[in-house]
Amino acid sequence: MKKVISISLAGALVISTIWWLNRGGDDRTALITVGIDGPIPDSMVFDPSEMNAADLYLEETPDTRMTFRRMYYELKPEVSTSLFLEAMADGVQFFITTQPSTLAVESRHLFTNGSALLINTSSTSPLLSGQDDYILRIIPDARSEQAVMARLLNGLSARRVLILQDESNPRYTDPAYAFFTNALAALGDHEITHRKLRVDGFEPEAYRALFEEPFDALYILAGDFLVAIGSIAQFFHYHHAEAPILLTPWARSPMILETMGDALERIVLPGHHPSRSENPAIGDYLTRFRQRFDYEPHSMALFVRQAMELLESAFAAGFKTPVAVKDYLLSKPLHTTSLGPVAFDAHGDIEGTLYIVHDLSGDLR
Amino acid sequence: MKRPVSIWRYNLSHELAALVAAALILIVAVWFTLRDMHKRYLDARMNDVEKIHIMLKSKLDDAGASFDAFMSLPGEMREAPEIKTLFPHFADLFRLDDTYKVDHIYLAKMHSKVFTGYSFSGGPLARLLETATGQHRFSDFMRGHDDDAPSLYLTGKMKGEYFLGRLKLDFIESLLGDYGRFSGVPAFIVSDHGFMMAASNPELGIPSFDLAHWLSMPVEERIFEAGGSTWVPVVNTHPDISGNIVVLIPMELMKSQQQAFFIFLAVLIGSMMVLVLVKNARQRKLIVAPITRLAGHLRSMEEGRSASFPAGTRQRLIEISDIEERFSAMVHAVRQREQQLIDKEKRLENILGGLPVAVAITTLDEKQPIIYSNQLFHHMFGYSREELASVDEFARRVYPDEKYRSFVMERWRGEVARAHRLQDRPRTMEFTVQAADHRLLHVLFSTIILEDQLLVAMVDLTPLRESERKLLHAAQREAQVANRHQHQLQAKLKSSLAASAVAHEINPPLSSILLQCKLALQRGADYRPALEAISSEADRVIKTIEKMRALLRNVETRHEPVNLSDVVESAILQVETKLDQHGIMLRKSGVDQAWIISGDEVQLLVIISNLLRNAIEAVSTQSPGRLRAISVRLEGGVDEVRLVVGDSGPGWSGLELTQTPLSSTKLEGSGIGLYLVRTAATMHQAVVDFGSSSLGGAEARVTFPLYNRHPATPDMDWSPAHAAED
Repeated sequence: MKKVISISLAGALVISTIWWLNRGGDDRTALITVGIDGPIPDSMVFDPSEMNAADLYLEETPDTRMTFRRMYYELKPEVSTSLFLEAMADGVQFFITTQPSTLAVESRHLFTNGSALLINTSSTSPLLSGQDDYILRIIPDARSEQAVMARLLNGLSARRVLILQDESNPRYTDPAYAFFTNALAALGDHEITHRKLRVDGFEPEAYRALFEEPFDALYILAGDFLVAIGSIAQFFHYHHAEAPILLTPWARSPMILETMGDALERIVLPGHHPSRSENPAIGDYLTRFRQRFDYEPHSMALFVRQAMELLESAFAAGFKTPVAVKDYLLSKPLHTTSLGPVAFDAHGDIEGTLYIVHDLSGDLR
Repeated sequence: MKRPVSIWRYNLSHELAALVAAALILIVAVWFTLRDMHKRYLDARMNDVEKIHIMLKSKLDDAGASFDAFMSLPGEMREAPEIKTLFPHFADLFRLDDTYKVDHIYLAKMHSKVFTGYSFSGGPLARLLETATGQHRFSDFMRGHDDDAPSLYLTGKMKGEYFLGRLKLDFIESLLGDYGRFSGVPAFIVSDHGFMMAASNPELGIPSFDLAHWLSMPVEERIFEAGGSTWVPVVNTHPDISGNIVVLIPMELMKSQQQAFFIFLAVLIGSMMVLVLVKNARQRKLIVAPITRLAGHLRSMEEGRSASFPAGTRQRLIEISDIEERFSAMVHAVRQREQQLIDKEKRLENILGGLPVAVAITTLDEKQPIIYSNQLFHHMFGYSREELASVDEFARRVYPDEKYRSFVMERWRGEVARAHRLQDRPRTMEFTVQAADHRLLHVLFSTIILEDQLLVAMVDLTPLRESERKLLHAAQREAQVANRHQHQLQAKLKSSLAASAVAHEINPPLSSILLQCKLALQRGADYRPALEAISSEADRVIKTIEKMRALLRNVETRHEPVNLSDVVESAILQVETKLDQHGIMLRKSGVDQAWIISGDEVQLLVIISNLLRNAIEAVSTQSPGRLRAISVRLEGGVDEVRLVVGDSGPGWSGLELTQTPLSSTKLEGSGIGLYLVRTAATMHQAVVDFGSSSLGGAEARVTFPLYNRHPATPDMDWSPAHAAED
């Protein structure tokens, strides 16, 4: 009896010691909390692509050093900023955000002193470009993006172009429109009809007269994977059956494409990633995602996955502070992720490129 | 053998172990009970979910029936303005062409993005339309096709026309809200993709729900956190409602039950623990402490320390009190016996210390320490107790010669082993030892085996041996002197006897001469000169005899203790031949006892020989047939011894009373024998008298004073050999 008690006590002591050493002695194995956010649009179904991307990462990487704090933001800058502040107050130093530019720009001051590091997967605002801050952006900024968009439109041989700009996200669409028009002007002579609207509040009858005007092409300058983009495209296609419709990369969502109807044939959609049929790694990831959650995520899930892998590599290398992680990520010219390479410049931005998705039907599988 | 443990620890550990075991059993029992209760609770809640399903199904069936009724309406009636009031649960009602494009909008929600010509050819709705029939068919709960809002569509096909309707979900939210309010259980409708479609409690902020994760049977370990609380999700999936009903069963009740049970358990176990501790503390105080104290006293007694035991302390427990009383009495008795033993030991030590022999006690074990030694032991050898701590140490010091030491120790140990084996007494041994001052001592070792101890007594024989040596030397010298004296005595005796013989020879003629001379003188004057000459000659002979007497008187005598019996025996021996020649019987008495007188053995022999010779001569004159006997008797008084010689002869004539030499009762006697006897007796302070013997003849009696006035006793025999024989 005494022997059993002694052995039990000794075992407990050993286990406690090992636990204590692992807990306090080796920070390499301590879990690091990473904040990850997702939008809760009013009156719409929440798309959990980002959150489920995190779930899938945890399930596929059981030995990860990360744990996630999930944050849900409304499209109100003050609310999204407070989310960061609350998380920072709780000791969270690393964030992966999907906030659009309108929100992200308002929170940039929180990431200037090295107390926290943000990986931005969605905001292309030029206000975040070239800054010596602690925001790393794994997507090209609006200037690069719109330059590509201008070249795409220019390649469509369309002279009369209707540009519908989403005014719900002006931090993105305003500079993007400027970059686009400047780039387009440099490429050729186009007759541009520019209208601002709230895409998610689009009512066809209100725009019937405009849409009945003769246009050679439509450019919907909107992001945020708004489903209404599909309805706008359909309404334009209803009036201009042969006119191409150009979408931003932020419309690369199965939900949007499903609502396109016949307009899908006229959609010109660039993406930050190749289509699943052209890139087996992306195809495999999306397949795994679908098998696990039974739906097709929007492309933000891919950025979130890449951001997680970048942070994991830094943590695995022993860097645990925002400063050290940033230095590490910027010190390497090229980072390899399972969904493609990422190359930061000195300011934590990437040049990147956009891919034309030719097989839109394939993207809907 | 297990390590011994105190009663208190043993008892406490066992009771605690039993308590822990009981606690574990209780915990397990409570755990199982709680699980069972929780399972029943969850089952009950799942039934509640089923109720939601039934209510929802009823509502949906009503909606489906309405949709079917709408489809069956004539075309113009479907387009009537009252349609909105007739079908209040519908947000959208469209008629589609065969390409799934809207060709008529009967009803559309405010700010709808659907327009005439809007295509539903993509996505799950298109797949649903492909299977449309005259009977309504529900879509899954899904994101609105045009607005991403939570939606539930119905499709149908009537007379080649497709119909698409979308239900308002507010009635579902109302249903869930009512349920949530009444039951306190949040309920949700979740699409197959996990998208949140309707919620009873939107304030919980659950944007999506991972069905694949939570679809399994609900158990209390799988908890879901939302709104600052923990829940057990229950997912109810029914194909007929095309969605999933999720309810969140609050954990509070289970938690509170669990807490109540475990608080009860904790209190119970804690109370039992306290009781066990208090009981053990009391037990320790009332039982263990007295026993420990008792053991301490016993240990003290065992170690020889003072075992003071407080008598009269009252204990709560009768048995303990009784034990203490008995122990106290036992201590008292033991003390008394101990004191007696101490006294005896002191006495024994005094005895051993006071013995005239050195004593040491050792053990029979291998080390053989000297556990006791008296002062004489150390005095004898000149070493302290520390220097003679063991037998080996003793041997090393007192037998410096290694060879001799080995010899001695081998003999001694061998003898001890033999005696121990045979239960005999070890033989005494004498060895020569060297004292600390280098004196050589002859020591006699006597060993006694006392169970497991050896008592060795050592006697220093050195003075005795020295005395023996001196005695031997003296005896040798004395023997030499005695031998020389014997020769002198023999020479004197020879002279005396010769003189006596001469006297006897000259005595008769001298007597005759004397007689004739006297007769001649009496007869005449003519013979006077001659006679005078003869007389003169005779006087000269007398003078010669006087000179011989003087000669005898002047014989050197040496008085020393002499056994008169031995001298009598010697005299008898000398006359034994004559006794035989004359057929005289000799009677002896008193000669078997030692009669010590101070005298000269030679002159005493002369006395006795003359008396015996006279007796023999007197008896030999007896005619044949008469008694021929002589008696010699020694008889003692208080401080004297008398020699009586009697015979069966004719007896005394009376002349023996004269002191004149040369007068005899015998015809041929000169009278010189008795004269010699008287002379020698005088020299020995003896008294001579005469009388008649019981044998009929004369009797001469010589009375000598005894040496020391008492019969001599044999000297104590204290020879080394005697001592050595123990």
